[in-house]
Amino acid sequence: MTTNPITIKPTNFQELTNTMKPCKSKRAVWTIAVAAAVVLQAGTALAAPRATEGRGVALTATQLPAAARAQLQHEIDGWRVSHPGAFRAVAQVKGCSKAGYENNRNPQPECFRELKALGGGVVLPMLSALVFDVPQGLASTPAERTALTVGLLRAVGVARDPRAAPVLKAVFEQGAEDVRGEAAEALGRLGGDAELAVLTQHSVAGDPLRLAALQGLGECKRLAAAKVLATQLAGHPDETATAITVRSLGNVASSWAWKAMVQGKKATEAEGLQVRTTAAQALVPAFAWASEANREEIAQALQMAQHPQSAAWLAAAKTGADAATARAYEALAARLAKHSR
Amino acid sequence: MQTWTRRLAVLGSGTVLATGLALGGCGTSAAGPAAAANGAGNDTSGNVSGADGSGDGATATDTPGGSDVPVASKAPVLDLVVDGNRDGIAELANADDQKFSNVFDDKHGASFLANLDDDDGDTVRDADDGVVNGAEDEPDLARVLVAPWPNAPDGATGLLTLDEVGSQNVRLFKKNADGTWTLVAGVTSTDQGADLPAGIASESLGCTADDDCAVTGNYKLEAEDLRTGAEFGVEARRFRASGADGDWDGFVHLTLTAKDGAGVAVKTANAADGKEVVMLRVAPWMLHGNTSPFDRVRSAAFYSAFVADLKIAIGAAGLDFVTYKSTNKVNPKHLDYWNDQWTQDLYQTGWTAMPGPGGKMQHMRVANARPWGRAAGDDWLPITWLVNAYLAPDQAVATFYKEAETGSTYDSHGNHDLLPPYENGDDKFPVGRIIHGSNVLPETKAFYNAQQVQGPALVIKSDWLAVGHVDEVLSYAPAKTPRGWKLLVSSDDLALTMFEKAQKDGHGAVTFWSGLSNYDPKTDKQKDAEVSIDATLADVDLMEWSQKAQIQINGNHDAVQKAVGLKDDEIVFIPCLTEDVGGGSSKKPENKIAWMPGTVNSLVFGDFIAMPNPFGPTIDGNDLFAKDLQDRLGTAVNQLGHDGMGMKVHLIDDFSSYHIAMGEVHCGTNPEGPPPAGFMWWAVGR
Repeated sequence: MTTNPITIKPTNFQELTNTMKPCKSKRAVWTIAVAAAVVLQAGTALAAPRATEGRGVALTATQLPAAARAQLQHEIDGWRVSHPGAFRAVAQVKGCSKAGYENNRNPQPECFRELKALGGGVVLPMLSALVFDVPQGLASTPAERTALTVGLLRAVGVARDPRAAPVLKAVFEQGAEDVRGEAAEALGRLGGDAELAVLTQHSVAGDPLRLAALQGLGECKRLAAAKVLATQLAGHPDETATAITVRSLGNVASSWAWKAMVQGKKATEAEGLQVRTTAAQALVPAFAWASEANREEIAQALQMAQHPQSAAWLAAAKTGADAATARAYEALAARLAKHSR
Repeated sequence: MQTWTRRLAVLGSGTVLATGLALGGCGTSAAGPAAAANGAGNDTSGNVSGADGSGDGATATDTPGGSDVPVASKAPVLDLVVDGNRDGIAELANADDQKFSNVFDDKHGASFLANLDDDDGDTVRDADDGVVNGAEDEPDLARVLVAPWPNAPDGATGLLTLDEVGSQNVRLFKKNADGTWTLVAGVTSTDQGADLPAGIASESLGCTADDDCAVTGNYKLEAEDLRTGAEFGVEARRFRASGADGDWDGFVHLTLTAKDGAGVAVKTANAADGKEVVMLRVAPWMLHGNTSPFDRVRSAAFYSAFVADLKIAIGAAGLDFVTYKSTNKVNPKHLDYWNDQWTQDLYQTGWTAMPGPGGKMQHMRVANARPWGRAAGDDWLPITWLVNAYLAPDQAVATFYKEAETGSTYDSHGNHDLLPPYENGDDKFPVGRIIHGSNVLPETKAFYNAQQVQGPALVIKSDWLAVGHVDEVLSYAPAKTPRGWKLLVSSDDLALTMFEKAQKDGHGAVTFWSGLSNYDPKTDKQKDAEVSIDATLADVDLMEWSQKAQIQINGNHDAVQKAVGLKDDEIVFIPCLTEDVGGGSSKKPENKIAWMPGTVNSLVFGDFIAMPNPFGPTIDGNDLFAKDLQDRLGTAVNQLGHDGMGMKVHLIDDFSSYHIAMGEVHCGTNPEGPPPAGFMWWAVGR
């Protein structure tokens, strides 16, 4: 295996502190203080008591079913003993506390990238933060807590660890409205039958969780998810639901994602093509009745699906369409052709 | 047309050498404002000589040069002149100045400056203090000359009147016999914005009768003023802010009327209605773009590796490099310190100019501030730092927003840029066209479009990005092509292709650093997070996000290509993969950010390009992406650079300092310079 002899190092903490303290001696003191605070935070995390009645950033522990709660608590407790560094790692994430993001280009809390990079070894500390206890200092304001919740949900989803399922389901069904979509996406990424069933159940018209469920189905890279989305789109949902459904059809049919699935031996090319076919065949007719804004969404979704027969399907759809719609189909076909990979 | 006897001889500097105003009648010569230059510290009131009045009843004669030059008569004179022919000098005897004093089109018409620099170094902008700030400030005033009426009788009076809206936006100074200036009309109060950072007052506060500032709409000329003529200088207190009905249209109209000794309105052949009217247009604010002649770059000095690499690149190009240190002190009041490393974002560099003598522009650089700072309070507004760090002679500062601490990331100036000059059918943008991304404050959009010559702005969608700036996906570089420049576009597609080829060539296991930390359960410790090419290509989420980003970029690409009329070979793709940090909503479903250093986000100056070091996988001893950038940009393959032999590519280590904080080299730097040669905005015709 060839390794890359990169010599760069992680963010130089000394330089970061320089941005805040021009005085060298004070800087040293400040650095020590921050380091001490980090140790204290980590200590807090390590010393956290069993928190069966705890409160995480997304849920209180009692919002989990008792059995699932007990099981998860057991696993977290064990991991805390065997892998204290994992909890320290999560406790040290900076992006959702003010000092960590105020100098970002867009000074909004964001900690997903850090959490994702930490990897699957911190799933249990992340679930703990979502449900049982939040390490001190990770987030303080409502916006920071929301961002932390998003970061945790997204990182847990990306890790695709099935132990997260009960937590993700609970956040999706009971969490704050502004994080339900993220929880649904994470559920979709887990992609198991149970997760698919939950999302499908809530994707129907009239369900209060419908929009989040439709969003989540886009991340469930399965033919069944694509079919649910296609069915929903065929029912001519309202403007917002159409936009989300179309977007999710694009995501579920992402040709690049399916290529990665094949690359990672998680799917076959044939499976990917089936999903992309389902999505594209749902998107092409919807273009005829969709609003201008949603036609743009459809155009993008079709580019995601990048189906080899899209041009033929668009040509067929043009036949019989009124003149304006036919022209729109032609323009769409040209756009797809221009940017085909 | 008036009656004069001698042509004027004026040096390029604008000093009147021999202005002979033959203003006969009584046999006395009248010292008057025969000519006055924009862009020079002329002194017409004391330098007039050689009068050779031809006596009563003089009529027009031919000059040696053959042009008509009128001679003085007893007839009343009612004449105003501005620099209608755009030679930088307002001349009473110049037929074109006379003829084009009340027009403005692509060939003729006078302009004047928003005088927002600080020529006397008192940290108060020259237009804010109600005085002419020394000899260096005089050229910043556009001249309005009142022709002498040598035989004006005792008791005769004149009235120089400014139009109502114009008067609320300008100051009119009268030059005294001793060379000093007196504020006589327009906004005559001088305490506007005394408690506010400069720039807040004059751009955001109108000065109308309802406000507490004083506006004087006219100036009365006494008989002696009429006899000698008078020289006025006019400056604007702000740029034109919008094209909305009722807002200032950027013009000021001055009307001269007069009465004889008996109080009877004077009418003349050239002013049969008794009114002599001239007009001037305020010069627009002009934005710099990548092909501008930069001579200085500023950045924060917070990060040693970034600054060291940048210093080499900027030094190689022969530009000044000015840095500021970090601080969190409240109101440091020192130009060397500031708390914001995103130098591109916190202000924008531009310029403004009017014709000056000798074919030169009378110009000043203009830096305009973002409405919000990185800490609350006026002390941390970017305009505060600009007043301390930037405001200087010929360096103006301004604000274009209505209210401080408004706006969002979209109002950072990395989201606002300039397409280099182009023509595409009837669309002609000879001095470039402003391009900006989503959700810019409405008053900013109105401001850009109100400048007219670099607008209407081309708006592209940038709200799919977590930061939301156009500089994350687009850039521009000089090229030896008919157009003179090419578009640089970030490309996930290209990055994917490069990774796939590397894998196909057997390098799939090569790793590179992601810039963050990974937790290793085996050691229970964190380590640098590295990722292999194989793992990158198998990352389902990264691939989905990158594909979606590519589609959004396609939309941006198409919009610019269509607007400019770019051919496919005028677009150079720059590889980068993209991730999505989540938190999307139905209004903003995406929050994309460069996953690897976003190398399109670069600083271009001349034939140099300072790019983020991609720190990609090393294959056969070369960084895959660094080598590609060098091949793509630094060779003749794309005809980049003025000689077509490629840009001088400098890689800057911005990984820990800027990339991780969601920006890159362009975001952390800001170049400035004089107006580009030939960018005569007044010839654009709109």
